[in-house]
Amino acid sequence: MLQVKELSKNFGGVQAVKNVTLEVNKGEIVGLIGPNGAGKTTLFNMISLFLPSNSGEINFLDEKIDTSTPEAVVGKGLLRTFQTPVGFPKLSLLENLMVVPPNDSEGLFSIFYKKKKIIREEQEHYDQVCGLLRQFNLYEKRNELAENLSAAELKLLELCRQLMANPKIMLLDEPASGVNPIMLDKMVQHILRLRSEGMTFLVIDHNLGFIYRICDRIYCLANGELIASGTPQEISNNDKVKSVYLGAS
Amino acid sequence: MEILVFLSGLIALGGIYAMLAVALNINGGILGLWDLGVVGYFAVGAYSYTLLTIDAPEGLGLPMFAGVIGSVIITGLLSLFIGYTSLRLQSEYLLITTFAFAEIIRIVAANEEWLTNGNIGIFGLDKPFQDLIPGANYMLFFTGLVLISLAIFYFFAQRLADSPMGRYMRAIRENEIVTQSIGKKIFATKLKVFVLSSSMVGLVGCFYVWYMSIIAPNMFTSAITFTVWTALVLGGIGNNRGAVIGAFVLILVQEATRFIPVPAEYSVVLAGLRQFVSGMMLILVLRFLPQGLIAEKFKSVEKIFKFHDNTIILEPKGVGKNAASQGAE
Repeated sequence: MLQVKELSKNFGGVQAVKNVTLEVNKGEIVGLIGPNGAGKTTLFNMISLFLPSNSGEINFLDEKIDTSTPEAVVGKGLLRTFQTPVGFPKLSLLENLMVVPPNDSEGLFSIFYKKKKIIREEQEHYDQVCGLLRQFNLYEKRNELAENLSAAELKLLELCRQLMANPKIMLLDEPASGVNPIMLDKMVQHILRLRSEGMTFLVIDHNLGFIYRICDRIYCLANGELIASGTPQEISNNDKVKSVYLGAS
Repeated sequence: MEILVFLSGLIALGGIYAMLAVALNINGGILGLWDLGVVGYFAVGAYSYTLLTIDAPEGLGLPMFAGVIGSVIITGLLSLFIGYTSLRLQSEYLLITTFAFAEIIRIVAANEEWLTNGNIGIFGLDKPFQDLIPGANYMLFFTGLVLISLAIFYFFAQRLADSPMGRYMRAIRENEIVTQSIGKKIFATKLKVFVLSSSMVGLVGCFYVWYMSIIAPNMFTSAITFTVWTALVLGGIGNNRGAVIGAFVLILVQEATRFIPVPAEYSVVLAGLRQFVSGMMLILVLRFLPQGLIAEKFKSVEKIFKFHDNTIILEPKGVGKNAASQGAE
């Protein structure tokens, strides 16, 4: 579904990502781990086209996307979340999600000449959002501003928001950081449920327990290079991973 | 009677600033662009109206309504150019660029004497329906005209702010990168809103010409931009009602300083006092009401469109809780 071939990026003299090749198949949950500064988020930024890559190729759904724009990639169904979830702090949860669907009514004057159509559309989106908020147990807070949510709830909101855009694959950047164990269980349940409904994930996280629990395969990055890949079992026994990541010798 | 004419003049000026503040609020308050070029579009609107309507050889001698429409179009086109070149910049950089454009426009107006008659300006400009209404009452009529168009501006801006477009604009203000990550074309939207807001400012330029009945480059210094921004911050940024109230309060307070009885030799000091007063108001408001006199109010879509929720409850776990809360509502 998603293939990354020999992708590289350097910032001046710093080689942030070096010839990384990885693949995510449909329905898989693939983990991406590595010490701080390994280039994981840079890789995400390149895949979602927020950053232009220096060389290499990105294929999504058998199409070369690396010359496309971030908006176009989202349209194809590749969504990413952010490490620090803030969302839209001064918008309510409802608005945070209702802003997502591509809206015909986003014209300056459309509210004046096609009001009926807009209301119908809004009602549809509203129903969709309410259903989603119920699934994630955020429904009660639908009229609260996003800035009043806890960190864990913001992570869930982040997930909901990207779900509103009908993703085929989701790139999650540290969904488990700052989430308490009980909420983490719920997060795992949500991710596994979405996978059973056909979603594909590429997940960055530092919480290895979480990664081992949900992932089918794991890639390990260090200093911009891929040093290992395999099943959770293989990764947890890999000496290279242990030495760069866990500090064991 | 004289006091009435004076007061209505004051209200007309307040109304003109209020229209500017409402237009700026769409751009700076709801979309969150730091636009310091307000006076630039204001000047372009005013000058293009004047040059379109005054008689040849200086102007084209078009009728008034054509002048108004023309000035809106010209301002729109110019702001399309300014926006296209500068809207990729963020906050401070955008601020300084738009400010520079406004200064360029003023300096061009001061120096291109063949077009604008330079620093001397153009005098004795006509006002709408001047012949129909006798001299003394004209100001009252004009004030009415200003207030009516202010009401239209307000209605338009309020509708826009409540629509899905308004929500989208606020999302861009709150977090541009996230807005991009859900597949929105931010630059195009910014440009669209920027042109709309600037054209509205251009339209207000016509009212300013009617109000002053002269036009000269020194009417369009950056002081106007700062007054409008001060009014917006004072009233409550992001809130149309706040923009209107802020503008009226600021103008009335500034003009009220004229009535402080002082000996003639202090009149210069007093002129400086007006700046002091608006600065002081700004500081006090920011200290005690950081969101302005009227804070931006959050309106739920449920209220705007009177939605009721008819989703099926999906998770059995939530059933009892949701049913209970719905009952409570």
